[in-house]
Amino acid sequence: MFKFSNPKRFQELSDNVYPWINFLAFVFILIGLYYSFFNSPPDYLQGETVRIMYIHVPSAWLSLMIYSSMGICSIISLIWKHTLADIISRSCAPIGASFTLVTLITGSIWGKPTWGTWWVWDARLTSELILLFIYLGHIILSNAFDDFRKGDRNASILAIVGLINLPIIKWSVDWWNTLHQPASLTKFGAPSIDSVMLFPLIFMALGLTFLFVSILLDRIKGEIYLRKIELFKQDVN
Amino acid sequence: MEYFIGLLNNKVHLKYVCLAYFISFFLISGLVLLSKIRTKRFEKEHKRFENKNEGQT
Repeated sequence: MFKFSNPKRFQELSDNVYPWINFLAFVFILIGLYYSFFNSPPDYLQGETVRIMYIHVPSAWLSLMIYSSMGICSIISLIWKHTLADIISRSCAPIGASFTLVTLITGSIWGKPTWGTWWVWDARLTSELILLFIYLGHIILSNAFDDFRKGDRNASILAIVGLINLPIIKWSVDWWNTLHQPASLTKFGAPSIDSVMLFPLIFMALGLTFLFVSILLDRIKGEIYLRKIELFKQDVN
Repeated sequence: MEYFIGLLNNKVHLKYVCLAYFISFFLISGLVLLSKIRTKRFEKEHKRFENKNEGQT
């Protein structure tokens, strides 16, 4: 495990798995889209708009999962000062911000026909919007310094502080009276969603997760090159 | 297929579903494309520095 924490070895490994990850992302998204549009019935209450769920919910899961990964990498970075943890954290932020934006936009579009409004300052929506601002803050802060180590350190502190928002997003629908529906899938209970709707949701979630890994590997590769370029420049100076 | 035809016939809901998927597709493919361009740019620049460095030594 620790063998691959070396950026060079990690890059060799990621070059080997990259085509497979892309292939898996493509296959799972294709199956997920087929099930979402051709094999899943409309909801008895929400009608055809329920199909937005197959992109909205996996994006929301990813927005939280990516932030958790960033938080873990930031803790590793601050304790062990590990370069790869900084690189992963920095590479995760734009991907997480994009999936959070997808969650907010698709949620807003879904809200119009079902709630009658594009936006409401409800606990779940507001905490998800705060997550987007934290992602943007992380991107800005990590690029705000000429010395990238300073940027990484400050961004890591912000990422760790921002971890407080994750349980708020997760349990906001239980803690407060909100327009947003509670979770249909829980870790311990049986899902309150029919299998015909659960399958496309799982396939889309897997497909988007593989897509996230693919983009992440690409961005990590770019970030490793960028750091090598910085080292070359320092040597020249 | 029956479900897909049902979606196409529902003119009110179809626009919301299409809008959500189109925006998601553009955002995600934009991210993929920008990430690829960025990595390629750094890869080229890195190669240039490496060649320059080899030339000097």
